[in-house]
Amino acid sequence: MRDTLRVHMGWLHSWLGFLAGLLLLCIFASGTLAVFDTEITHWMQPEVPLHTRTALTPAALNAAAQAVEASERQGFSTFLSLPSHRDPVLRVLHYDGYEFTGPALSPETGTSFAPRETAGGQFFYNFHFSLRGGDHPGVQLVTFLGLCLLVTLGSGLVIHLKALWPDLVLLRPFGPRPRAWVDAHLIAGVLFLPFILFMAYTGTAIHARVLLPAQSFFSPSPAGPPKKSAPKGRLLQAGPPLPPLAPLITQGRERLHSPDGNLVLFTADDVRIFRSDASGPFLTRDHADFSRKDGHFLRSVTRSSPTVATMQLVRGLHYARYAPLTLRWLYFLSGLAATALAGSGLVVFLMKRRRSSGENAFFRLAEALTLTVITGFPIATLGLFWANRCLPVALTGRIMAEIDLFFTLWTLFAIHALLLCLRRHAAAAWRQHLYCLALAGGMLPLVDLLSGSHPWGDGAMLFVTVDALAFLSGLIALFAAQHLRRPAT
Amino acid sequence: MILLLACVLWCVAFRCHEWLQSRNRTTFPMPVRAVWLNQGVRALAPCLALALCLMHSPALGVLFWLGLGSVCGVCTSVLMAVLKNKRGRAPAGKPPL
Repeated sequence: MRDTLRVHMGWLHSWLGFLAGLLLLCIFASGTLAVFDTEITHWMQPEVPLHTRTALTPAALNAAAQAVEASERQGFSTFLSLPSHRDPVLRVLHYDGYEFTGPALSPETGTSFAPRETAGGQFFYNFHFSLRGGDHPGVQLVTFLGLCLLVTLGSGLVIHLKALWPDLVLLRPFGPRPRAWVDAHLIAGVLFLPFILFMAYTGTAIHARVLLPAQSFFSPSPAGPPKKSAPKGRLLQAGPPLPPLAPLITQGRERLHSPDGNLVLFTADDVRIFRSDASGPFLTRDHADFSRKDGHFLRSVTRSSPTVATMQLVRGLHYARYAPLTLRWLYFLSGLAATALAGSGLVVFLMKRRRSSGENAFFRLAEALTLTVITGFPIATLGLFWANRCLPVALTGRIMAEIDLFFTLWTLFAIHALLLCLRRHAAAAWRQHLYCLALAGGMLPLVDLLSGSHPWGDGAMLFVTVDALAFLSGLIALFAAQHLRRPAT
Repeated sequence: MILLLACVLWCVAFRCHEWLQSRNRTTFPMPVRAVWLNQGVRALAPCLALALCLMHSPALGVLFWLGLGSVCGVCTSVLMAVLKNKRGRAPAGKPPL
C-alpha cells in the first residue's frame, strides 16, 4: 500500500514539480532578489546619497507637497514615502502599472537628487508576484503555481519520509553525478522545508482571492449603473491644495507610535498617514487621517479584527519588511536554497529520463526550457544590472529600455537553447550559457567601476556587496562550466 | 555574538546527528559512552540555540532559529562530505537513477 502511494506520489512530484518548477524557479529567484529590493534600487540609483540621514524639515515637506500636486495635475495618484533607516530619502511616488516610480528628495532641503530612471528592485518584486502579467493572468498564475508548490512539497515529503531523519544532512558531492544532484535537491528541500513551506503557504494565501473569489464568477451584476473609478495609479480629479504637512506628520507619528518610514497618501478630501511597514511583523494598514482642506484631525484607524490581524501577519511574514538586516540575509539565503531546490529538481527530472527519452523531441524541448530558466534567467537579470550602468543616464523611457533589454536577452538565450537542444547539442548549450553567465557576473564589478557613477566612499558597503555577489555568481557559473567539460563518473 | 553561538550549537547538533547514523560507524567509530553523549548533545543543542535566539529577539527568535538551523545544516553537510572524502571512505551509494 505504502509503496503504491510512494509510486503515485513520485509520479505527481516529478511531473507537477517539473512543469510548475520551470516558472517557480524564476519566481523564487526574483523573490530572493526582492528581499533586497530597496538596496538594489539604491545600487541602480547611485545619484542618491545614502550616508546622510537627517530629520524631515518643513522646507523638504513643502517641496514634496508641490511635487505631489504637480504629479496629481498630470492625473497620477501620488504618495510620499518618508525617510527611514533603510531608505534615508524622501520619495514622491506613483504607480506606473508595474512599479512605483518618482523623484527622490533630500529630507533636509527638499531638492531633488535627480536620480536616473530605473526599474530598480521594484522590477523583481513585481515579477515575483505577477510575472509582469498584471492581476489577470499574472497574479492568478503565480497563485496557482503556489498551490502546485504546496502539492509538490507534500508529495515530496511522502516519497522521502522514510529517509528524512537519517539522511537529514547527508550530501555526497563526490559520488556519481546523479547521486550528488539528488542529494543536493534533498538537502535544500529538507533543511529549508520550514521556510519554503511557510513562504509557499503565505504567498498563496495572500492572493488566494484571485483563485477563489468571494463572489461567484457568474453572479449577476448589481443593479444600477457601475460606479465610476479611476484605473490603478490614476486619479479622476486632483484635490485642493495641500495644507502644511509637517505638523500633520508629527501628529500622525505620535498617534501611530511609528517614528519613521511612514507612507502619506492623498485623496480628494483626506491626507492619510500610515504606520510604517517596518514597525513589526503585522503588516497593518493603521492610519491617521487629516482633512486636506485645513489639516484638522479626522480619525485614526488602528484596530483590526482577529481575521484581519491574521492576514496582516501572513503578509508581514511573507514581505519581511519588518525584518532586521540579519534576518533579511537569512530570508535571502533561504530564497537561494529554494531556487537551488527548483533548479536541482529540474536537472534530476532530465537526468532520470535522458537514457530512455533523450532522443524524444519533447525531452529536448524540456531541456531547452530548463536551460532557459536555470541559466537564461540569471543572465537576463545580470543584463538588467549591466543596462543600468551602460544606458545613457538621461535616456527617455529608460525604465522600459532596461526592462525590454531584460526580456530581449532572456528570449535570445531561450532561442539559443532551443536551437542547440533540438540539434542534439545540449551539452554545448549548457556550457555556452554558463560561460556567458560567468562573463556577465564576473565583469559586472568592472563595469560598475568603469562607469564612475558613484563615489566609492558613499555607501561603499552596498556597492561592494552587490558587485561581490554578481562576481560570486559568475565564479560559480565558471566552475560549473569547467566541471561540465569533464566526463561524468 | 548570540546568533554566532546559536550557529555553533546548530552545527554541533547536526554533526552529532550525522555521526550517530549507522552508515558512519565505520568512518567515525565511537564507544557506547560517546554515543550517549552525542545523543544528548543532539537533543539539547537545538533547544539551547532556541533559547539564545529568543533572548536575542523575543518576537523574531523562532524565525532566527529556523533560518540559522537551515543554513548551519547545509554548512555541516558540506563539511561532513569534505571530511568523509578526505578520509577516503565517502559512502558514494549507488546511483539513484
